[in-house]
Amino acid sequence: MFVSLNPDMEKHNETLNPHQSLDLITSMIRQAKGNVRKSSFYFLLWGWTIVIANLGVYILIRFTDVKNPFLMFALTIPAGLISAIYSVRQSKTQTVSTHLDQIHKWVWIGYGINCVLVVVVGKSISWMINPVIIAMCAMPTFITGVILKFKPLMWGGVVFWAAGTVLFFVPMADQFLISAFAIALGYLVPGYMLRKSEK
Amino acid sequence: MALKDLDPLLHSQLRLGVMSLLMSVESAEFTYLKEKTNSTAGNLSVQLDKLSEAGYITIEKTFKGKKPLTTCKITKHGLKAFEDYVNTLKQYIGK
Repeated sequence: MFVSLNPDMEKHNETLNPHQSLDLITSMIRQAKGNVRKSSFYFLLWGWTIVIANLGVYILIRFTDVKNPFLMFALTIPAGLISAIYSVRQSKTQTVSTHLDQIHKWVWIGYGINCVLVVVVGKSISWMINPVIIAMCAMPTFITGVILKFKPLMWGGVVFWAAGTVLFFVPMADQFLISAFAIALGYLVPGYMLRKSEK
Repeated sequence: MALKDLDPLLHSQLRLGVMSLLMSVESAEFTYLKEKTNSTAGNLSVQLDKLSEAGYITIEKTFKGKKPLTTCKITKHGLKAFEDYVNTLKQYIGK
């Protein structure tokens, strides 16, 4: 089943000599690299959703006596649906899926699960939901920056680590205002920069 | 030390190209492999069948809308064969 290889003889026919083999392997691996899909769509969608929700809650708390201002966060439900539809459509047009694509996807799904968990146990953590969610969001944002080799997103991650820490020490109402700023800086600014780089 | 023989199944330009591509990705569609290896559909299809028969890759045929869709993945067995092939290559080159 196995054949011997004589490099000199191989030059005269279609098979490869060891150096050609290695060159081929290297060039194919290089082709497959850098295939990570960039998608500014999610950063812009979620950036705007969370900024509007947070600002909405802040305004409702500060200037009105609406009973449950936190319902603004129901905006995340349509955003979640739009994300799901968009990702299904995207997967239909993609011809290759790399390990990094998978890691990228699951880091964010994992983060999403954590967010749901934090909301569910909200009472046990004295409703410090925003600080925890903002601090947690530093990791997937930073990792996405590393995967895409895109520094602005890595800085976005740093913003969330810093903002997450600060949020623990400010009054509840102000948390929403600061969160909105943090998301604008950490999602929207890099999101628009990413979008520009995709063109 | 006697040199090991190179796996003939991998020692072909197109099959080695396909295996190198599949090494680096989770899965790839037929059209992607065709584009990256610059091959014809007929030849690629024959070589993919050979790799699949040897258990080096799995080929999944489904539909994307009305179009047939062929997706290839490297198997553990294929990964091992590829690693052995590269190790043997190293011996040739290091000689």
